[in-house]
Amino acid sequence: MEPESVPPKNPHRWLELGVPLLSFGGAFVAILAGILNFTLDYHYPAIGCVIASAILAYLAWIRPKKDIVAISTPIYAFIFFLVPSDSSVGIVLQLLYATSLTILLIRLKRRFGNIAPLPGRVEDDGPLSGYIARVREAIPDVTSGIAADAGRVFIRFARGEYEVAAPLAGACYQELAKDEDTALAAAFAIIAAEAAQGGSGSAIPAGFRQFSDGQYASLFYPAPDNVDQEQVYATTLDNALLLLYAVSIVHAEGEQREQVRAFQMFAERIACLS
Amino acid sequence: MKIANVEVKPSVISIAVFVVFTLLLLITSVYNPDVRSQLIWLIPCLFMLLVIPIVLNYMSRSQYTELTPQYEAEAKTVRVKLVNENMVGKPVRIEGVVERVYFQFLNRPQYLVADRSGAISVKMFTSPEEDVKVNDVVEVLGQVIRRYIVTGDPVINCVSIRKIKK
Repeated sequence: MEPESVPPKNPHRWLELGVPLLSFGGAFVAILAGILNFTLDYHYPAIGCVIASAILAYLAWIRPKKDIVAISTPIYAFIFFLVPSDSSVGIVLQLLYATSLTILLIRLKRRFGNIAPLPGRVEDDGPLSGYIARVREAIPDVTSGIAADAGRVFIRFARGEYEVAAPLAGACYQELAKDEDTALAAAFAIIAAEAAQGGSGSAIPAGFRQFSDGQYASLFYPAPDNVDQEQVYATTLDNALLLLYAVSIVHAEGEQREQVRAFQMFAERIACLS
Repeated sequence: MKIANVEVKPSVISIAVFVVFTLLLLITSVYNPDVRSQLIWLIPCLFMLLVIPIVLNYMSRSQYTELTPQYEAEAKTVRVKLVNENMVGKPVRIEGVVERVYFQFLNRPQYLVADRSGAISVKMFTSPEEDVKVNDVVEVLGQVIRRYIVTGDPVINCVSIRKIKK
């Protein structure tokens, strides 16, 4: 039986809780002061709304998809609560503002996805790191030179520099294919052919190179079980790119590996994880 | 409307503004004789509300028309999935189906174009050459940019969007 999956801990949970707590907390203090007939300038409890806005903006900023509405809330908080004006900062305004911030927080979490990983950091779990671990076991004997080349091809391809990626991948294929026909050699050949025609064109080349059945053990996507050539071609290309990424992460040396890791978002996009 | 081989299309908003202010001017000039003496400059001003958007649209459309051949020569055809933030500034060509159309009434249409690998936002900062609707199969030429200039996910700044037959 598979162990029950535990949802990853959200390191920003307390910040997320802080948005409604601080904004409504400030309004609650203002109400309490009113009930107790305590003279309190409404600007002081309104600071809760200002801080909550700043937290919300921060939470929106660190996501890969930015929510411009949430990011701009501190500007409104500043105008409403900190800029001296003739109209008083009432409890109703604070309550409405706190409600708006809470709605924006819910919207942010629902529509703008998870918080972006730190640059260069590989998530400890997830399909991509699981795949990298699989490649580490399946393809243990790759020289750091070839791994660095795999990384270079992947980076050039990610940047859309197909005219550079094609000859580089072709040269790597020639070198690897001398010994035996491995999944890595096939990946280089697939990328070389693809890059040579200037990226993923809409036309599928006739008789395009594919991985053999035995090589799918070290690939991210399983062999497509349909006869749709477009689907087979797309899966083949995605598998080739992800194999180059994984090989370079596993076998390349320090600096090269870090350079490739900077392109993790692209790998995640190919793996349909972002 | 065509001006020097460039298809010019004022937005619905600018036409609506022109109509609203024309009606206001008509009503005010009927009920207020003082306004009638000012019509000599109010009427030209009124027409400027229509002329300025048309001129701006002509300028942007002619600029985009000039750019299209350059993009046709330089852009590489890519699958939507392969468009990523490392390609910012690169000219690309994508082919796909229009899934959604936004802000067409502002002459700043934004399309959601999808191929079998994924979907991407295509932003256009002028009116398109032809009317593109949901479910049309299109070819898009443009440059990869970030959604909010310096940040955000990659989107395509569209120079040309054309319907193609598949």
